[in-house]
Amino acid sequence: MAGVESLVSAVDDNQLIEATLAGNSAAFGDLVRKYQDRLYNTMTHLTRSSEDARDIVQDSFVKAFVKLDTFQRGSAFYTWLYRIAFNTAMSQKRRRRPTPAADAGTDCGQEAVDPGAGPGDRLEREELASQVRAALAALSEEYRTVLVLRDIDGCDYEAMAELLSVPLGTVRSRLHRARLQLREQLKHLLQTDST
Amino acid sequence: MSDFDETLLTAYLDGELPEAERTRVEGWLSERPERRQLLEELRSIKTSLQRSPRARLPRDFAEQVLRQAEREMLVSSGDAPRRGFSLRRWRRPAIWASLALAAGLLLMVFDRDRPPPAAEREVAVAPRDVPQVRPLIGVPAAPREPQSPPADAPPSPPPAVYFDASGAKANGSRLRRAKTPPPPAPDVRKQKSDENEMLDAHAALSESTMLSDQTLLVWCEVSPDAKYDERFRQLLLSNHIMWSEDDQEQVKSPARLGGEGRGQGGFSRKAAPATAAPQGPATAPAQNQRRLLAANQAALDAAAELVLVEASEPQIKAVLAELDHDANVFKTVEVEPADDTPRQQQFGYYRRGAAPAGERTQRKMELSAEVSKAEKNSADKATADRAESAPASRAGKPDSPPGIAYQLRAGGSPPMPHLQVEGLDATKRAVAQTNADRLQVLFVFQPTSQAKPAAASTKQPQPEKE
Repeated sequence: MAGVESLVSAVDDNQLIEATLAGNSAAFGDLVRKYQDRLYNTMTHLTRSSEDARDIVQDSFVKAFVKLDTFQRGSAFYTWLYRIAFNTAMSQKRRRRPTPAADAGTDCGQEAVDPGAGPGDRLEREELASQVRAALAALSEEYRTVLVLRDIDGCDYEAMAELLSVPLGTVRSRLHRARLQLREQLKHLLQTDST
Repeated sequence: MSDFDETLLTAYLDGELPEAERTRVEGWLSERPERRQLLEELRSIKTSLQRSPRARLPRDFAEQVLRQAEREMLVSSGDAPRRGFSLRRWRRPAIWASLALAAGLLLMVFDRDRPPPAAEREVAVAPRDVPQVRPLIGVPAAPREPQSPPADAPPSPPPAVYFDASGAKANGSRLRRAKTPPPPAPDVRKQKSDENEMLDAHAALSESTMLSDQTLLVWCEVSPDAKYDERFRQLLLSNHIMWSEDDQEQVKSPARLGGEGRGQGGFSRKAAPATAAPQGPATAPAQNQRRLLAANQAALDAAAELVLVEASEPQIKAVLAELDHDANVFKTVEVEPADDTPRQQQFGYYRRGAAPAGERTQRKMELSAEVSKAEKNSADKATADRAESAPASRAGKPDSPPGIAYQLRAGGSPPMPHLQVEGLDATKRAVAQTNADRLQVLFVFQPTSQAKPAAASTKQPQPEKE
């Protein structure tokens, strides 16, 4: 599977976009496969609902397909796609009350297991990860977004600034405050960890 | 160092600082242990987040997205004109897809004695198909007398199960459409092999003539500049005929189908000529071979577009009637039913602006000649004889006067009963009944500037006399 994914990743997004616009909608399928999990993962954390996240991701890809001819090549496709998804999520949030955080991450895939870790370590780590996710879900949307983009989605500051349409310095300060809040919530765990 | 900006610590942790500032942060950290403690705590949080389980979507999510996108495009295409949207996006090699469908059905026929898995039967009668069923109240239904194939003919494929190009079964009316690939560049070195491949393709298509009992051919000449594509899609939608796009990678060209189609329903190079052998024509009359060969020829025309749908008779009637009314876009409409299928004869009267009877007859004869040549090269004289003798009976049929549109006649049987959906069983029965009423229709669209297959066939060598 990794081989297939790397093969797909090797294909330039612009080539896939051109192929789609030229009539090959299967090329857009490749774009979907390339970014679906990344976007879904991000949206799951942002919306705190895997079901909503799936709907948002699907709607976002559909919107992207329909409006593909308006995509400006100056930015990355994922950045554009993320904006669509983010706006879709915001629209959806305005339409309905936010769902409880209990669903966050409940249907997530398997955590990457460190082969060197023993069962006890793994249990501890899973416990920690579970509490971290809960603390993340309790953060404000603004802080949660930057943490998800940076630590879960792996975006660099520049990409985050572009995605969120904020200056680079804002990304840095927002991220720092978000981490401090998370640290505050997880203080008991961190202290246990350090002792 | 009270003026230290703590946000630099986060940037330091993320490796987002230039060398100079990194050195500055390290100096700040070295001053007090609690600062290093803070850094470690932040690092721990970051690591935990990075190790969060990754949510994943199912493997077929992309296909779901594409299906929804297609629906979205179709629905919105009826609104204001779309900026920069090209309908070419929706065109794909339809004939190849229809051939793949034929291959799938072929496999089903071969496997007909084996009961399908329960899951497949469920797919065929899935209740979610019900909304796609057009209400039939008040719509005169065509006679639903059972088909009467020759005694030695295999039974028709199960009507409630359809294949898509990838081999997956699906329910509901389906449409495969595409722009056909351009014909290969002339190459003397490959001329012979191309010819052989063409024969294979013809033979492969002949293989699909087991569909001919249920495949109605509709020839449409369209204005070169008209957006018939969009118009036709709207027309299908308004008549509740659903479709799906195929994965282009799954589609085989007919020239390759014979040799490489094994992955699609077990089509093989050996299997293709077998239909042209004496045992084949018993299930595929020469007339039907000729009809589908004409479609195959059209498929080789880069400008032509072929669309295969499955729909009920009332739906087909409605589509044909609307094609007839839209004479600006659909210049000519000619329905060619299978000669030996009474159920389809009701559509045979439908013709507008088609070629005069004499020309049409000539065309059939030329097509017959081509059938003859293909069959001769496959060393099957018996089939060739049948193919050449076919046009006479065909030519003897009364043709509608050209230029006159005939309103389709309703069948004499009472209207279909209203679909009583009272539960799952009732739903399954209703859907199965509706599926049984469906026909396959191959629409062949050709720009008026393009020669029809018949005209193109005039370039073919004259039939060889035995």
